[in-house]
Amino acid sequence: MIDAHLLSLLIATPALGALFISLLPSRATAAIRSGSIAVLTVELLLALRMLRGDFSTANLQYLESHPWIETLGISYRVGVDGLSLGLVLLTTLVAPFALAVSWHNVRERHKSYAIAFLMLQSALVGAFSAVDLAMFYICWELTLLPVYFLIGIWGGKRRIQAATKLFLYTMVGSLLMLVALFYTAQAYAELNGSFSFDLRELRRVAWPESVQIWLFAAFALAFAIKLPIFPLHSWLPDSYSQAPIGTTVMMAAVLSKLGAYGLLRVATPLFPLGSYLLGPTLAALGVAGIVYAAFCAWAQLSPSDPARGLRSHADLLRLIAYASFGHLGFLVVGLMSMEPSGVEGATLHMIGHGVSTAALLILVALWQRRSASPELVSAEAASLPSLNLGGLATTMPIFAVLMFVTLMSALGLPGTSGFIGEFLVLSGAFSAVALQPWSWALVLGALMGVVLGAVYVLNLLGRFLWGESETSASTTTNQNAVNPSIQGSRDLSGRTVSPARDLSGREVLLVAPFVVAILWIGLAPQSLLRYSEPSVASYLEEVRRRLRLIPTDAPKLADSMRAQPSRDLPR
Amino acid sequence: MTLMALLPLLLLLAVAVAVLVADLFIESKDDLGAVAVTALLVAAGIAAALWNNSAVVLPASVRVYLAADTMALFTDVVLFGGAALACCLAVGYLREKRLARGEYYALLLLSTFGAAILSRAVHLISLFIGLEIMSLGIYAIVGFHSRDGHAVEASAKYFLLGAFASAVLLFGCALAYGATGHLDLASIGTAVQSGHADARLSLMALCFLLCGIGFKIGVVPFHMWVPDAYEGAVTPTTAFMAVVVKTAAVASLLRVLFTCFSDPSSTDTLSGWPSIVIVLVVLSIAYGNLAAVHQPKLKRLLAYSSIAHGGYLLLGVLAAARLGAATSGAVLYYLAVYSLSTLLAFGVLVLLTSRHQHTPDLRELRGVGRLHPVLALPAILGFLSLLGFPLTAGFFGKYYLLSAAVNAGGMLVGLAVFAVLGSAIGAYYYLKVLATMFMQPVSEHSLDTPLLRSGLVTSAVVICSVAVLWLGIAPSGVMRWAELAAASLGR
Repeated sequence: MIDAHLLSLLIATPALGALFISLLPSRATAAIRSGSIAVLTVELLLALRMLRGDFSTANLQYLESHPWIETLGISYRVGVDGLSLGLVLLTTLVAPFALAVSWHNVRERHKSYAIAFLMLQSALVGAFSAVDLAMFYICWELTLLPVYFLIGIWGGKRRIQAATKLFLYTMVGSLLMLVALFYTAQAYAELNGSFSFDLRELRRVAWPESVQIWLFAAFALAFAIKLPIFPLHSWLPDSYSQAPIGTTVMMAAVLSKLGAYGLLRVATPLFPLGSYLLGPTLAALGVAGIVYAAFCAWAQLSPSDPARGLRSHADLLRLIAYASFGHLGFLVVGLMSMEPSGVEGATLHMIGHGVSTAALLILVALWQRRSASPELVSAEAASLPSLNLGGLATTMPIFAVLMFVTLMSALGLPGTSGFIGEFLVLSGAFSAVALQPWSWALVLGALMGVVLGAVYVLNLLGRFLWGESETSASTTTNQNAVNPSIQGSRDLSGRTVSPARDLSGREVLLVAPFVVAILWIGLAPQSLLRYSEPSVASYLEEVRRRLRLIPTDAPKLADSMRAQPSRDLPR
Repeated sequence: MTLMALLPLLLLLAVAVAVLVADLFIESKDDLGAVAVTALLVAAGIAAALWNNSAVVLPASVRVYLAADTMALFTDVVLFGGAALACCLAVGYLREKRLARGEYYALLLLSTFGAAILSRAVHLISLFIGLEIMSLGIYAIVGFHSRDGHAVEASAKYFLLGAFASAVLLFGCALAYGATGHLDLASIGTAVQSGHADARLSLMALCFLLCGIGFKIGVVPFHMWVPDAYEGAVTPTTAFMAVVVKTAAVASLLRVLFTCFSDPSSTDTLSGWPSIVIVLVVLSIAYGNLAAVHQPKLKRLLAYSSIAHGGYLLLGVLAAARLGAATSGAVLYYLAVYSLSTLLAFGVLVLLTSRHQHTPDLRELRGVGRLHPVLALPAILGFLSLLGFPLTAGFFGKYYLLSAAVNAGGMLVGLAVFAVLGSAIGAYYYLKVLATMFMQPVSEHSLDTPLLRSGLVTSAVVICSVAVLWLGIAPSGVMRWAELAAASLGR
């Protein structure tokens, strides 16, 4: 019974939870907090049931289908396979923890916050499990609205600007995607006599080359904005730094994957030739993003004059935003390589990046609780001296250990989730026919990005864990010693004197699952790849088969692809 | 009982006269408003009940002037339903502003009657008469707040330009008669199609008719009156105008274009009337959306947005020109959806009305959502529906319309992309309203008056909210009706 409607339940649970929460009196903040987290926990438990499905084949599991709007041929159609399973699980795993760390920034209107957050969750699960293109589009759009309000109402000082920027950027991409969607549907209807948005059905249309490029470009633009791909990323640092931190967790860990998932689920399977022809460009932009993001993240630390870097928490979040953006570039390279290891690496990296970013941001959230008032968390205070992060290795050892593991994953150290995904992506890209003859340059560029990444991550790590501690710094500079007896209160410059209390047991629990996941993915990636392998293999087989079938003007690259029919086909 | 099919119209006429008379004796003007609302709802109900009643046929002498097809019934329901909701808003608003007078409701009913005639007209005479009955009533209720200089100015402006547009339309009718020797649309259509008509004269006639009707729809370049009239009129009148005038004018445009000028050479994209309409679409979408961006006054902002929506509607007309009149269901559906969304947006504005306050501009709306959390749902639904966001009625309206345009192919795909970019600009200013209400902190300029207390206003807002949400989730039924209605146009 549950299994027959498992995905519908997953979509409905947060929405019903939101309805339930809207009935609570808005004063009952404790009930609202625990109620919403309880809803998301139930959601997580339900999602874990999905693992019992048969993922040894590429067939969609838990498939459910009902006609919705018959006039337009739109159906409610959901299902998961190896490509989406990990993302649904990631969404449901991250959400309760992200909500739990939100409340530090959210000082008013708790009820609306919880409702918006739960609606976001419903839309996300809907988007990841939709098998109907129109339904995917609707859920895709719907994820935007809660985020808009979450940033715009509960965000920092420049929240409205950031929220509007995010909305408009995404909206432009989505609307062009909508036009491409009509075009796709129309062509299908002309071929088959009736409308359908079933993604598996739509794949049967063999498009001429010129049309494929445009349609792929329209879809890819929407996904590239969401991911984001360089140079469409300018909304990202603003949104990440202005959003309340729980929302930032959701955006960085989950929402960004929606763009990559769109490429994997919609754009490439529907328009393989378009993907093939534009793939190298996208991959090159991905690599450009990796390198560019590394420089931008480094710049936040202001290497020439460290005292001027990282003035506020917004700067720190900006740094994390760029770091996260950089790692997303690998997803594009992997997906566009059209090689088994590249695509598998990308699916794994989506999860790996999700858990490590979630861990990092949750740790930052916990540290924010100790160090600053919520007003300052997002203040752009130019007059402040740089944030003093230091000395946590001695004062907060548990925090330091968790932070260390997380940052090592961001660095891409073998044995953590950051390594294996990127390694697979690069090894796939290196041998990728699709990216010839520039694959070596792409890999080289990406490796340079990794090295640059190491620079800022190590720099940050040093500042966090081994720099001068805040209390000693304040006494040495004599700047903050206004009233050292009141521990944990704000001083005149607006900063708090850190009480340097280590993480409590509950706080450790907030991070532990993600740190465990980082190590688990790093040490035993096969346990996850097992689920995605059959789907990836059949996805690639399908894409390659269709590349051979498509009537083209025989571009050179497609020929070379045909010349090596099944070199790397499923193991 | 031969006039059964016109029962809703006759009812409105009778009640309008009755209200005018009763106004002399009845002290409570709110009751008159309630009577008008009831009459409109009953009329809408009758129109809906006549839907599948094929036995209802008009005698031939009337059929020449007025249609009684499914399209007429569909537009009747939209017109009467929209007018009823606008009338609900008026009752609360006018009482709060101490403007309650009986003739308002009589004029509103008469205008709606005229609009229904206009949307049913299949003869140039009845078309002109319907247009005039509708317009005269509206000229009067735009300037209803006679002590307010803006209202009088708006009314005068609207009247002068409107009279001019009527003259142009009338001239178009005369030219059509000169070209074909007929006044009823079907005969004109036959004459044009068979080539008996003078081609140049009938082209002139088409242009003049387009100008006259385009003025009522409010598309660029016939839009000059829209911002002033929308701003100057009392808010419920603005809502009424946006809904009723637009619906009737678009319906009449569909009838004229697809009955008289539906032959292949007239509907050719480059040499026929679509080439003119393309210009109107591009100008309306560009101008309406761009002018709204920096508009601090909410009613003017909605006026510019209505110009842009006029452009979207004409895009649907273009699609139907290529795919056949029977596909104009998208336009009819969009009319219904646009009416609901606009009424909801104006409903929120009416709720914020207070006696000594002008209609709030954006600055005064800062943080108002924090003071009145109940406004959240209607305001978000209303503006997002105008923007065309999923799970609101507007989304499937836009979806249906744009997919028709893309299906028509050719140049219309480019226009659809243009419309989409226009609505991305639309997203900016609709969101600005929401951001102002819900994200900005309360400032000293913010409205701090309590919400308007009126059962009718509240229920209108609730009904619109539910309908917008419902059509955003399950639009199939209404879409089906719109399709059937459009099918009668294709015959």
